[in-house]
Amino acid sequence: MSLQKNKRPARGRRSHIDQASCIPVPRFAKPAGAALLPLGAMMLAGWSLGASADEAKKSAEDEKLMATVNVSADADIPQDGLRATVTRVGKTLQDPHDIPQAVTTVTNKIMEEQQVGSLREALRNVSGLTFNAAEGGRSGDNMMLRGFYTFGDIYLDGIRDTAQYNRETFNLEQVDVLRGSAAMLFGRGQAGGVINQVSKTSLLTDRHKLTASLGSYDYGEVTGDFNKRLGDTTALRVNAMKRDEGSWRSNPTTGAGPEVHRDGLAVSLGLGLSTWDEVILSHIVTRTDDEPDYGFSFDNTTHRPNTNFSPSNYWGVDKNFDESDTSITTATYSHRFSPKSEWRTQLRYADYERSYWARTPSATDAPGSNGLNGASTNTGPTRAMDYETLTLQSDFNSAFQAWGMKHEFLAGFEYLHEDSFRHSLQNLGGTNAGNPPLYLPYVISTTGTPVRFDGKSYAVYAQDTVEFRPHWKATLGLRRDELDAEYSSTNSPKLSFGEWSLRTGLSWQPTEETHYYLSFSDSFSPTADLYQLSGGELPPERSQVYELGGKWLFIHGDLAFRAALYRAEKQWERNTDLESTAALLSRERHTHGLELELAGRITENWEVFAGLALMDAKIDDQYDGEALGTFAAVTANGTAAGPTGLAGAGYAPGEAADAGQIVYRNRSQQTSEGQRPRNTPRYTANLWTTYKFAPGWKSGLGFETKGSRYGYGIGTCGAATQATTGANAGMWSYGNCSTAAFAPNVAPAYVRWDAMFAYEQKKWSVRLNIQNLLDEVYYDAIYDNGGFTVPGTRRKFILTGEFKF
Amino acid sequence: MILHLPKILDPDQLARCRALLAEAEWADGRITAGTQAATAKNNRQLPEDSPQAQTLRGIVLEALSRNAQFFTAALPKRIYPPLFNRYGDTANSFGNHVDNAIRTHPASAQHVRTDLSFTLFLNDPEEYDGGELVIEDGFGGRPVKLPAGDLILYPSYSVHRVEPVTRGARLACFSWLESMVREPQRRELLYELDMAILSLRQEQGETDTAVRLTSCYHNLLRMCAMV
Repeated sequence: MSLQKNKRPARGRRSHIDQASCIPVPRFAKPAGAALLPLGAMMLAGWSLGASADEAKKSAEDEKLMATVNVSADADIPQDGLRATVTRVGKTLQDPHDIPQAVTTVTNKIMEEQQVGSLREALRNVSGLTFNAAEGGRSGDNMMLRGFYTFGDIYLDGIRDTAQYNRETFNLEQVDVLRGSAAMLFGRGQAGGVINQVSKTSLLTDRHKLTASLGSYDYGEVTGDFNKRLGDTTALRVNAMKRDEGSWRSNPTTGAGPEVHRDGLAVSLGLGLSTWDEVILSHIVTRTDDEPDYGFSFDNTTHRPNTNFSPSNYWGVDKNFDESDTSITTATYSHRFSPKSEWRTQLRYADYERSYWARTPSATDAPGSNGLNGASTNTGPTRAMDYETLTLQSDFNSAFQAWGMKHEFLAGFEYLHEDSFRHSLQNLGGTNAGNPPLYLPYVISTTGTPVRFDGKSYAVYAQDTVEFRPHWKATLGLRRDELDAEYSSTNSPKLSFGEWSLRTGLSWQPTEETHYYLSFSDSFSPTADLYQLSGGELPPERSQVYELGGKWLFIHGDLAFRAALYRAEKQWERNTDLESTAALLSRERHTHGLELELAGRITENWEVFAGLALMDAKIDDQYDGEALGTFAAVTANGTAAGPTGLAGAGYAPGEAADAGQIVYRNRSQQTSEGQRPRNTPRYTANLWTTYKFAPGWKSGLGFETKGSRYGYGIGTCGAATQATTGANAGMWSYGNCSTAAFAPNVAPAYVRWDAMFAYEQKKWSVRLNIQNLLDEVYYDAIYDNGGFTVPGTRRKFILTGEFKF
Repeated sequence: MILHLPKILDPDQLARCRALLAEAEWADGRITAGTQAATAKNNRQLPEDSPQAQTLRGIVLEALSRNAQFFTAALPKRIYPPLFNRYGDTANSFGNHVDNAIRTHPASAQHVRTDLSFTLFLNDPEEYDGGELVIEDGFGGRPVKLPAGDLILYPSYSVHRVEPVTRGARLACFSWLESMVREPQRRELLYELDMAILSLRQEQGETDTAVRLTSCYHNLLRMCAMV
């Protein structure tokens, strides 16, 4: 279930409070036969305060429904502005101000004001977050947070949503980003943080909204958001979306260009809403039918976007496709024992299907007409995927007083079954101009082994936050995950992991408006579920995050400012790219960072959402040799034979004396040790600010900036040779290792400005969005393994009309 | 403006309330206090979802609905479902505090801006010693201890406290209101005007002057009220 806006935690410091009545508006019951009455009382005569003498005798059971009965049908459900006031990213409903970890929330209002359609666009408002382009490894939404992969940390209403696909925002209320390791709350994950999408759910009111947009480059979108109250405690919400987008880029030979065609439908039925027993049933289907954009190549010499071609060139052809069908069904049952304790269970079945054939760009060959670059026989990445999950999650949370202290207690368990299938497609054509390639969606290759992953995870967790003395809180949480999985690769051992995850925090809240905290959390990720597993028996990735932060509220809570200083470490980081032969990216790396964020309302008419992230990241140990298992055999002449399935470059025995040991050497041809990790800029910043300059009129301005980002491959060493004479006789050395200079491809720093003008009335509004106001060519996503980068949009106008009824 | 409203509850209603309070289970009063107030609060309170509390709320709201002076003084827009407390034994006082500006009803998550607070005394001053409600007015505070069934309505912005109860137990109902008129001075001015017009009408009947003043009252209310 997602969070409901009308259930806010009690606080006494917000001024943008809802207009809904607590109990029906009190009216005065005029006494019969009374003489003169004061005017105020006379005016209010005719109604009672909400309780007649009979009602006063109502049974306790009836009274439990009070909350519902008292929400008037036309109540205006409160909406957050640019500052979110409630989140369930900590598993219980909380004010983000109280969470001892950095949290960024992209509210529905920002998404609307910016005319955001995809999750990816929404996340441009999150500082410290960068986008990866895809090749053969992970594709679809693929983000880095604080310099670490986060595609394994994407959630939908607290349940894993880590399939490789492109997510839409038409059914989202907000997007919460909980920074830092969060395995204790969410299970396996990485150092950057968790991105939790929060769905819209049914509300006890009648409220409908239709929007239609038209814009540059064939942009067109219609969305509908319909909420109907069906009974005292029953309501239905339906959201629908259809969007088409073209691009400023095209194939000069064929005229083909990147395209986006998406549609979706989401239904949420709420039963027993705002009562002690609440059931929410929801179903969402999203379809995409895109022409995938694989971007623009780097120059091999300058390591900058190449100058042989215009960035407006697109290498794809009309035959390329990226289709997906996503279907997610969720049932949520919440039982409240009291206003302060709740038991919440979610059951979800999700099926993600996707198939694509994309064309990678070339730095030397002009875009062709048949899906081939020049004389190359490479036909481009293809994939068919089916990922199914079944999740059962159950949490109990309660706030109570014990041993003289206040406790906020949380405990729960989770079961997750994942079944993943992935394979390349069958080329029904050829590999040359005379017989060009042809792939069809979901027609899989008849050769090779599909990647299959079938895993079951079980987890239990508990957390307690204790106010051990006034204004001081300590949080301690522990989670045990057991993962039992099978992976198709012949060289893969049976995957069986049992891991502990820890979350601790110390909070000092000297006033309601001030929160200082120190926190530590860790996480792990075996990664096999997320991308191809290779490299045999490596320990799971592990992350630790130390964070010191402060959160302040100003202007009665209208404006929130937060700062966080952190150290995030990660060990055993896997490569996510199938094209690379090295399984491990780094043995140990870290990011030191500072983050600042301002969100909320400065004056009645002026709102702001801004973030700044500074990152100092380094690869501490690239991993160059550790005994990892038993070596199969060393032949008489010292030639290394890898263990079954792992033979090849990168594997060699250590010293002769180590015969019998596998020493997995991963020293890159261009060593990255001591260097800045991939796609981790030194800074990112974002700003979105709106000002109501006249009644009904609103203007908005914002920018997003990112420092330069690296993309580089992790090569492998040449063949190992054994010295036969001299002091090193018998020792192995590695050809072509660590000798080449570190020369990453660099996506240049950029600033993109956006503007908005709107005229808003109660029932309708018109909005003009101008994206990339200065019409700059900028490079947005970078393929982390090098190769290419994807340019962002050029100046784009979108005109939107909105009608509410 | 601190207003004493006598005899909100009649003896029958009082007796029913007392009976319900006697059978109810009390909880620590800090459950409704903010973090700062919680350090000062030491009393017992009826849990909001206890069956007795629900019936009691009905009685009190119904009684308030019949009080013209209460309406005209408060110009209520919303009312937080009334709560019930007990000061006595070891849980016997509530130090100086100010009420949270916004109360959120936990079951419905609806907000009430607390413009006005009230205390409805449910037992007689003879039944206990101490327990005065002291509302700070800049002159050392004004102790209030009213007969059972009487209500005191006072602005929520004031710092107030309940003196320790040294004998017996003090039983009361209390809650907060959001007024259609947010600013206390404006509300008080409207109340004064209303009451002045009332005596004018009582003394001289519905004269043209009274009608014109009534018009002024409503027009002022139009300017000030937020509904």
